[in-house]
Amino acid sequence: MHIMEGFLPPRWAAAWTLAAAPIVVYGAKQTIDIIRQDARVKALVAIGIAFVFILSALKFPSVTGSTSHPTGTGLLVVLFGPAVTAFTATIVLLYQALLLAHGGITTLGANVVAMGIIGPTVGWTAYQIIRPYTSLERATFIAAVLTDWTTYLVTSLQLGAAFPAGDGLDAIIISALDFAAIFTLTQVPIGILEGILAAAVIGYLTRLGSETIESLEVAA
Amino acid sequence: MNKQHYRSLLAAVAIATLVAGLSFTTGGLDATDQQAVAMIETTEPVYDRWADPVLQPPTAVGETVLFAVQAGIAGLIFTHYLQRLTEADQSETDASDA
Repeated sequence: MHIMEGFLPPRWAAAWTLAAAPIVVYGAKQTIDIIRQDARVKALVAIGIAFVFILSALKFPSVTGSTSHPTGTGLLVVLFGPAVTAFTATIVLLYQALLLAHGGITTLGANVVAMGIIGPTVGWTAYQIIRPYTSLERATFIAAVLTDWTTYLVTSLQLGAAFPAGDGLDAIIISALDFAAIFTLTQVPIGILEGILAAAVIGYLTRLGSETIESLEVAA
Repeated sequence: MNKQHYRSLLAAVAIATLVAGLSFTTGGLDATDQQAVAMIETTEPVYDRWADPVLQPPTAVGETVLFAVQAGIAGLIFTHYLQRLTEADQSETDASDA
C-alpha cells in the first residue's frame, strides 16, 4: 500500500499530509497518556506496536506472481483504537520511507491516512459493532481483516483520485478499480492471514490472566 | 543473561530469519507497490516524478537486511513485553492465592 516517493502530485501530497497531521498528533498524545497509566498497559502498547513492525516487514508472494505486505495494525486497533494506530503507522512508514525506499516523505500523509487512519477506523468500527455478538478472537479476526483490506482500498482510491481515467467522479472510480485490481488478489489472503495472527495474539493475551483481560476490555 | 532475555533473543532471531527468508525467496517477484507505479507510468506517461527516495537500499540484500532488522528488533520488544505481562499476571495470581 505504500504509494512510492514522488508518485502523488504535490497538491494531493499536501492535502493528505494536512488531513493526517492532526490525527497523528492526537494519537501521539494519547499513546503517551496510556503508557503512563500503568506497567501492564505500557506492555500491551509495546506488544501492539511491535506487532505492526514485525508484520509490516513480512513480504508474502501470491499466486499472481506479485508480493505484498500485511499492515499489522489490527491488533493495535482492537487494543487501543485508531488514534494510537495512526501514530504507530506514522513511525513505521517513516522508517520504511527513509531507509527502505518503500513509500516516501511526500506520500507519507496519504499512506498514513490509508494504513493508520481510515483502515483502522473501519476495522475498529466493525469491532465495536460485532463484539457484543461474538467472541473476542472472532471480533479481532474480522477487525484485522477489514483493517487490512480497507487500507489497500483507500490506497487505490487515493491513486484513482490523483490519476483519474478522464474527467468526473466516474473516471476516478474507474481508475481506482484498476489500481485495486493490482492489490486485490495479493491482499485478500494476506488480510485473512493477518486476521488469524491478530486473533491468536489476542487469544494468548486473554489467557494470561484476569487483570490483563480487564485492561483489554476497558480499552475496547 | 537470564532465561527471559535468552528467549526474547531467540524469538528475535527466528522472526528476522523468517523475514529475510521470505524476502530472499520472493526477490524475483514484483511488489504490488511497483505495479501501481507501472500503471501510473502507463496512464500518465508525462507525469513528472517530483521527489526521489532519500536513500535507496544499495542492493536487494541490503533491503532484506533492513527489513530483517526492523522485524528482529520488534520481535525482541514483542517477546520481552509478552514475558513481562506473563510474569506480572503470575505474581498477582500467586499473591492472591497466598
